[in-house]
Amino acid sequence: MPDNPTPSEQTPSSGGYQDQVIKGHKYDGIREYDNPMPGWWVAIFWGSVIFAGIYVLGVHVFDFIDTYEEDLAESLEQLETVRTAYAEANPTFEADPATLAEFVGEEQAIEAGAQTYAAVCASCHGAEGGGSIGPNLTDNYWVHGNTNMDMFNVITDGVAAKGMPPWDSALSPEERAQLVAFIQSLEGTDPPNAKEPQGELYE
Amino acid sequence: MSTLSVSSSAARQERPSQVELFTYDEQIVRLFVLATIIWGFVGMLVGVIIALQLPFPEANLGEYLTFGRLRPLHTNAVIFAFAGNAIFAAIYYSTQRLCKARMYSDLMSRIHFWGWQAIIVSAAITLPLGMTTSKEYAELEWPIDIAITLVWLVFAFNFFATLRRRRERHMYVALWFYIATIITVAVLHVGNSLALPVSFMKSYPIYAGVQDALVQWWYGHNAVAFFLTTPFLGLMYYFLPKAANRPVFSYRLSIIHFWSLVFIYIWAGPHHLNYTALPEWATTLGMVFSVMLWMPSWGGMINGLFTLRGAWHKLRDSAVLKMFVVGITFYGMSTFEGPLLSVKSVNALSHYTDWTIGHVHSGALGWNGFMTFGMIYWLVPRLWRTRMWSDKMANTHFWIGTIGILLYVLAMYTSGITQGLMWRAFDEAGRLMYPDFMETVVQIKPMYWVRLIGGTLYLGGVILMMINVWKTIKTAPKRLPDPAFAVPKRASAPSDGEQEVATA
Repeated sequence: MPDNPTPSEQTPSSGGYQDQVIKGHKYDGIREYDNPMPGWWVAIFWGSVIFAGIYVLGVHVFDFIDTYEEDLAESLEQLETVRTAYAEANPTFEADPATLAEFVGEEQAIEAGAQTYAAVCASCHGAEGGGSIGPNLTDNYWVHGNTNMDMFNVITDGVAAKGMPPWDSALSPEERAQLVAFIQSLEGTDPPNAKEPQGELYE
Repeated sequence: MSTLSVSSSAARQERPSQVELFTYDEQIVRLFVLATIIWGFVGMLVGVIIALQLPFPEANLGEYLTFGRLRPLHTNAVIFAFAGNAIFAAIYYSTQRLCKARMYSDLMSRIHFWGWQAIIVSAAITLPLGMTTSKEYAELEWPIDIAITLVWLVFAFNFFATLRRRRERHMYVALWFYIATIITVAVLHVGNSLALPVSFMKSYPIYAGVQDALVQWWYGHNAVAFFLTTPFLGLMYYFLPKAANRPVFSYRLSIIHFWSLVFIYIWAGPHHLNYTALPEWATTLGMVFSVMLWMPSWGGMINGLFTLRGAWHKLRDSAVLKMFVVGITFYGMSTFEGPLLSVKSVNALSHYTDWTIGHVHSGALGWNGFMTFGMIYWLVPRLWRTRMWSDKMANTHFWIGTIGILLYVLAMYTSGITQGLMWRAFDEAGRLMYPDFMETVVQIKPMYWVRLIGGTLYLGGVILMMINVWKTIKTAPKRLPDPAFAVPKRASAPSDGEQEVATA
């Protein structure tokens, strides 16, 4: 147990601190200096306490900092502006049996639909449309109808009870129409390991 | 403490009636050190396995070894088995010396040790079986919770009875941190674990809904505070000045940062529930207390690093000091990051992303891990009265551990910020750019491999330490009698009056 002062106790100061050992403070050989707290430490500590007071008053009393609800409303408003501007610049595609028919059988539409399908549909309906969590899309059995419009509506609104999500906010109407074109192109492909038929038979 | 200068017979002859002899229980410290190393290896090995399971799902084997079952096993093993045994080793070693008194009861120390190991084993069995309360870091079911409470009370009684019988008038700052740890962990554990059992291994909390969430994160955040911070600050305040042989930088700072830390920490929990059903005033409270916590936390870092003024040259030859410095530096970084992440607008980006995982691992691997390793490399040669088998190996442990942490946290920061930005991205039409969760998973998968490499390096360091400690112990003398001391016979002896003596 060395009782001798360590070298620095003999040197006058270090880094602007006096480094005076406190008398009587010696615990299993550990000594303590009587140095003050660093000024920047004290200053930031007080600063954080003042910030805390201002922040609490700002959010909950004087309302100069946004609450969650105000934040959300503001962001939704901005989003609406973006959506409106986009809709004005890009005339909307209105899905009806006639406009959808223009997509079905169209090579480019099928190709684009295949890409969207691989990205969002394949995980439930199988990479080749044979079905897994979701039904088989290659046979003649359909749970919610087999017209172009039926398919478009299922993709758009989803089927909440069966776990099919709605895609109206994630996919544009054109993308949904391309998907219809792709799915119609799958009919009769009969991929390996396809799921058993579900729904009604449409000839 | 390494030299035993005066033989006991000589001491008795000189001052036969005025001195009292006492010994320290070192066997209990040796037990806790060994348990720390073994559970550290187990907990981190499970960590590496679950890090593999994320980018390589085929590694989820069977029902019991899936990510969902192993993840709580990893966190419980690392926090309560590795860090837990480490702080008990630190407390049993330093408290006896700071009090100049043997632990009050050797039996209680053994009940604490074996009880705690039994709790860990029961956790390692029940969690893979799927028996869980599903409360994070409090997954263990009610019979184990009761066992934890009982063992903790034995530990507390033993500790406070030792404090009461101390031969030192003042209590050194390390002891204050231990006191805060023991009292607060008891309150937190009991408060959060209150539950109605419905069968032998199933219970439901007495709190419901958002109140349950609030109590859970009051507990969860303060598990970080009073299990992974205060005891490790106590550890630092004892082992760092001992290893550097330097006085502590500022007594005044230690008082102020202790009281501000324990007072402010307990309010910070609601920042885990930003942007949830918790009323906003409560999350505001959690956020501002977290911001105010920044400097109290840094007070510990400053007192640690400034204690090394004039001793930095010692780092070159000492793996112990190198580990302490990196540990304290990671403590400083993660306690800056914590307040930052609690700020609502930052949290909006970081919440539910891997940033959180990076943050906790900078604390766990950097602060808790390296402080523990530093302590082990300092303690093992003293406890087994020999030299460390290989200093070079200890240095290698330091370097691959440090590189491991850096790879780990950088991978998680990258992946976390990527996730946060992708989830909030809109395209020019005002639609979500990445509506599918899978798109972010594919994007961050490479980072999961980097994390696996970092974690494996860190585990490799621990394996080096296991070998090193094993080889060291093999060179230890057969008999390791408890070190004996003599002090003048008085109610409270002045601290300079002791003589170190060897037992016959």
